[in-house]
Amino acid sequence: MAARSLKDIKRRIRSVKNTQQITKAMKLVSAAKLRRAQEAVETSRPYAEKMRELLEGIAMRSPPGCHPLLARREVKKILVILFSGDKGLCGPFNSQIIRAAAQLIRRNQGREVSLLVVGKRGNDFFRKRETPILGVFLDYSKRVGYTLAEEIAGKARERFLAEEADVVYLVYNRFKNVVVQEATALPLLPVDAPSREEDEGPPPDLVDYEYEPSMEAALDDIVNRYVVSQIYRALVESAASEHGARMTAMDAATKNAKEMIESLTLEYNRARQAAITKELIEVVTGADALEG
Amino acid sequence: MANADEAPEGALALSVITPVRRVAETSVSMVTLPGVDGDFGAMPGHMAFITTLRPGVVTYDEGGMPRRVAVSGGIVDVTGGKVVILARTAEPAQEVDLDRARRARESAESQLSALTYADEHWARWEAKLARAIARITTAEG
Repeated sequence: MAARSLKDIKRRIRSVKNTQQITKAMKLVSAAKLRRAQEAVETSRPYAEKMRELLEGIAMRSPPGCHPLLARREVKKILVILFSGDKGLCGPFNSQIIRAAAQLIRRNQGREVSLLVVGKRGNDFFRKRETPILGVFLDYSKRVGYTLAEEIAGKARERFLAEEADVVYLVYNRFKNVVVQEATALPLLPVDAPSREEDEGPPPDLVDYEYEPSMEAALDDIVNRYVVSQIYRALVESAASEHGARMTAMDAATKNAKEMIESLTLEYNRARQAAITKELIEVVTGADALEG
Repeated sequence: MANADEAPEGALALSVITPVRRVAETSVSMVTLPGVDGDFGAMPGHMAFITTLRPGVVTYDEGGMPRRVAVSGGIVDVTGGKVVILARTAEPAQEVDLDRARRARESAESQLSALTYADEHWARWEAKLARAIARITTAEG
């Protein structure tokens, strides 16, 4: 270790302490936000699950291709909706999901891939690359909610119905727990629902429903709401993942700062000791010289 | 609150669910709903029925107390003694912000009076007006 002056070391300790205060504060803020985001994930479940149940029930009674959003086409054009963050300092959260999107794009070479990007980080990465970005949602962390999900759903639906996209994927970090976030690519459109075979009647064990105004209208309503609920889920899971990742990263940073302060303090004390010893030697040798 | 899955004989298990929370989970003897083709009531033994809802008021009895919930449209599934309402938003009467709803009604009315039926924004304002009226009716009874 190069000998540093006492003043330098002291300054360095102070600077690391400041950083530690910031990382500690960020960790606490993330923990609070994570709790709220986790609640949002939990509370979104009953609605999404019931919507899925209704969707399956109605699709099983309907012929294939009964709704344009269920239409399977040969895949030539792909739309990827990427959920990244607006900010960094959250460990692998952004790089992991950007890598997953880039991989998905690479695997589909020869097909036309376009992007809808949620979050600044994803936009920063892809705007310098060749995959076209059709739309961006920046600075969204305060508007994570159903209205934003509806906005995104509107764009996705428009592209799909205009046959500008044959498949739409949601690429987001799935929240497994505070330390584990899993990059996930979930097909959003065409909506994956079981359908009745062409010649079969509806399965006999199904309840015979009445629909108002009609089965088609109910299906249309349910399919659209289901799509929004899927996007909303990706939004809240991604938000929970981001806060979890940031909390973990900031916790590690705070610990590292602590270790650094300890080793710098040790270095400081050693240097101080050395300085004192040196002075003592000088005094003693000075005295010896006078006596001699 | 009673468990919705175990509604007693002669009762309906009612759930009102929005994407962000469960608004109600209770057992009722009857519920009236703002169906897209008109209001209707459901009682135990109602036929299996799925319909979309328009913005309006859901009313039911909870332990003899009349309850009202404002919904902004949605879908309802009535089967086997269960009524499940999936609504984009739902607010029990006591949670409605009446002042806000009144302001929303006023602004929607003034916007609509300046538009014609063919205007592209007509439907949006009309829907806003319907939601505001649903909230006001829910709060005022």
